[in-house]
Amino acid sequence: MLENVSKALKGALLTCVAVGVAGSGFAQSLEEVKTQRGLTDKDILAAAKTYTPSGMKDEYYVFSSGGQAGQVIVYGVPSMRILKYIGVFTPEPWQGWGFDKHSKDILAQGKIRGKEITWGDTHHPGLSETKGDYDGQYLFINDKANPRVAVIDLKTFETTQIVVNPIFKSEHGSTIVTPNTEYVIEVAQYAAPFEDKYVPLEDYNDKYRGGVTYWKFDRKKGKIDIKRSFTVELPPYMQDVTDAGKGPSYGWSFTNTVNSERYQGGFGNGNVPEFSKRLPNEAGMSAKDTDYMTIVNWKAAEKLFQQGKYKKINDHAVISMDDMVKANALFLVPEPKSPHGNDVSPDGTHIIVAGKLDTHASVYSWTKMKNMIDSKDFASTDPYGLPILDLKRSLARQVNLGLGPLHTQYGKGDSVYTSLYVESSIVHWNYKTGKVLEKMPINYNVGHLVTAEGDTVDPDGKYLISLNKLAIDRFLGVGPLHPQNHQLIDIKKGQPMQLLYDMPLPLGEPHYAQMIKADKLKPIVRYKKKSFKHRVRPGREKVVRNGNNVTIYSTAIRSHYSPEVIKVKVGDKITWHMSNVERAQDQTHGFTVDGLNIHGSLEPGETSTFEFVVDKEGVYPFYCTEFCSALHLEMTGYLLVEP
Amino acid sequence: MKSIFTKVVLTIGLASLVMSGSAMAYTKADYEKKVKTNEFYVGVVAAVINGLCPKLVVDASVCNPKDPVGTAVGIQNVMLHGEEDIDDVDEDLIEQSVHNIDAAFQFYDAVEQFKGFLGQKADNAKYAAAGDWKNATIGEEQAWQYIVKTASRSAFAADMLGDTKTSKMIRDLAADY
Repeated sequence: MLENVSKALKGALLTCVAVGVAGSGFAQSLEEVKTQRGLTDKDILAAAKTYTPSGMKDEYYVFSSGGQAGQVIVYGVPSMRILKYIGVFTPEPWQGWGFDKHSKDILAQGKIRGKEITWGDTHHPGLSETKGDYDGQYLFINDKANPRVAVIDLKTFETTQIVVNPIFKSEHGSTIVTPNTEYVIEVAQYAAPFEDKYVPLEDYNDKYRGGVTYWKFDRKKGKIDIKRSFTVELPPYMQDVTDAGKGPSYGWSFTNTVNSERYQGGFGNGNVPEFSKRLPNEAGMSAKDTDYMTIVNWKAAEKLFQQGKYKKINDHAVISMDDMVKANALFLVPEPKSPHGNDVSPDGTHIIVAGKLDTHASVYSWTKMKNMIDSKDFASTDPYGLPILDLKRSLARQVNLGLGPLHTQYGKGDSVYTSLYVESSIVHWNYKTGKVLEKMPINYNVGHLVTAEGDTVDPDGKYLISLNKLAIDRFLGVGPLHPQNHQLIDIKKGQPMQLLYDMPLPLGEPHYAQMIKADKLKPIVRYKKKSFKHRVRPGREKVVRNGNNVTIYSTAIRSHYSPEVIKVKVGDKITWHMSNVERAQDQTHGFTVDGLNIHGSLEPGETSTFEFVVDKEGVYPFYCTEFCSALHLEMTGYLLVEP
Repeated sequence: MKSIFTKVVLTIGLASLVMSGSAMAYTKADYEKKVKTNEFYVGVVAAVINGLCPKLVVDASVCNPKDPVGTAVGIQNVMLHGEEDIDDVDEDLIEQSVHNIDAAFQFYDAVEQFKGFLGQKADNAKYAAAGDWKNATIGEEQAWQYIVKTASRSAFAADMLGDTKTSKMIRDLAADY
């Protein structure tokens, strides 16, 4: 019978081949492929610039927010091959993130006022820096909806800490770092009372607040030091994107604001009649021609914190606006309304602001602003007493770019690239001369941009990725919810911008990204077994009972667990330590006990711990969920639960 | 050409035909058949160890073609630098003593499987001496599992070293048998 089946398969295969030859034909040359697929020379060039043959590695890593997935997306450039989704604020089953004790404990750090949050809105990843250059050691990522910041160790590509902002109710323009990663900056978005209590909207101006939190990063420990962190109180404007000064502007940070009108809409028949006749927020919050860039001297704020000049709110240090103003450490300068981009130049001398509702990019001169600050030469003050610098005298120039400038990234030399959201274009211009060099259409509605090392003191140029909000007609349909589209563009100096590749991203809105030279990262391939407290050595496996607490010490190696049969009783509290005793690269074992919502990914050298109570008698198979070896199927065992 | 994986798949297929390993009756002939298989495989693995050794370690004096077991353990010892636990050894130090650290770690794990093979074989001999053909036969099957994994990890090491000859020797294992 087997022989007959084999003959039938061979026949089917030959038929397929024959049909293939007669139909599309086997293309033998590049020209034939071009003709068959309708490709142009330009397409072939783009393919040659991105195609990465088996074994060849990419030049850059991109770390992109994973949007509503609460994760981070990692991919390579120029291939645009996705390398990993890093579990951060939400469970990620493949990695066992959120299914073993260690990751559950880290996720539990992210509880908001005691409540478990099972989603996240990751927005702005920030790579750690040394002297203003990416150093490849850590990545930080924020959660806009549930104001939290996470630390990811780039040796393991795993989240190691989640810190909740105890006073913000939302945030956005995080997690930009200061040039030596002294601080990770987190900025409020929607103003709210710092305290966790009800305050009517009528008290908005007096009791709602914005702020900038400076999370102290302890590089030695690889952790944020919560006790050495503080927030600078700000007016109830909506803070947005932030950048840290460098070079001559080192020690300062710059933050956009929206809604300096402090407008509150209401629009529509709800159950608050006094607000229902008000026009929508979108109108009232953009009524003025300008909002404010907030300028904070974080070095001075640090000094105030060290001097104890703060009050504690929710056990977190808050430095008041008054104290900041008295210390000459907090200023405003008008900027085009409803801005989003706010980007310090590599040499720290200029800041480019892109106002979404203005056709211009505004290039601020730090030298001019600093002179006004030093000579206390202010145009006015805002309702909270914050000194306001004169707009015109702060500007180096304004450049008319097009419809909806949103975000600027730096290229090589004086080249900059600004996204035009409304116009769906990228514009290449010179920020020192104001000359517009080139404009390129993209598909569709570009938000942020990322250039190679574009946020550092030494951008590489070379590649730009347009982080498009819409894909519309670019890919095969997958229902009404389309993937997002990252478009790779070649920006090598001396040539026109060339679109190279469209990459669909089907995880969430990948809001912002950073691109780092691959050789700066030194990821490990195996864990140090000794670093795990509950490591189990081969031959020392055991099951220990203490009352109704049962601790299982077991190991995994191709292709068996040890022990393979374990007997417990209903109601026993199980603590199961599992060590992967392999060392070879990529020899990962999975682990699950059926029906108990347990899953682990045990990478070489790793020990994971699983805690659970079995509340029903029965037979529970457990098995390796990775195809680890030919006898992967046999890598199994039974947890027997007696009544 | 049959590959080593063909053999594994066939083994799985045959295993699925029986109800349960522990419910089967085994004979001396079953045991001896598996012993013969393992003798063949261990012969190839010995050749693999001897082939890989000089390409793996900087100090080739540890390579002794007459003693493949000693050679395999010797390669681990080179990597251990006097420590009992490979975790205690700085990877930079390991890197200095081997030609390719990734290949070396593949081989380290291959030797761990090989040790499993040797230990299992010793147990099997005791079972056989006691006429316990069931445990002796299943034990030889487990020994075969260890030796196959030794071979597959060694194949990875060979590939990483660009040692096509050894790699082919491992991949031709089933066909040759």
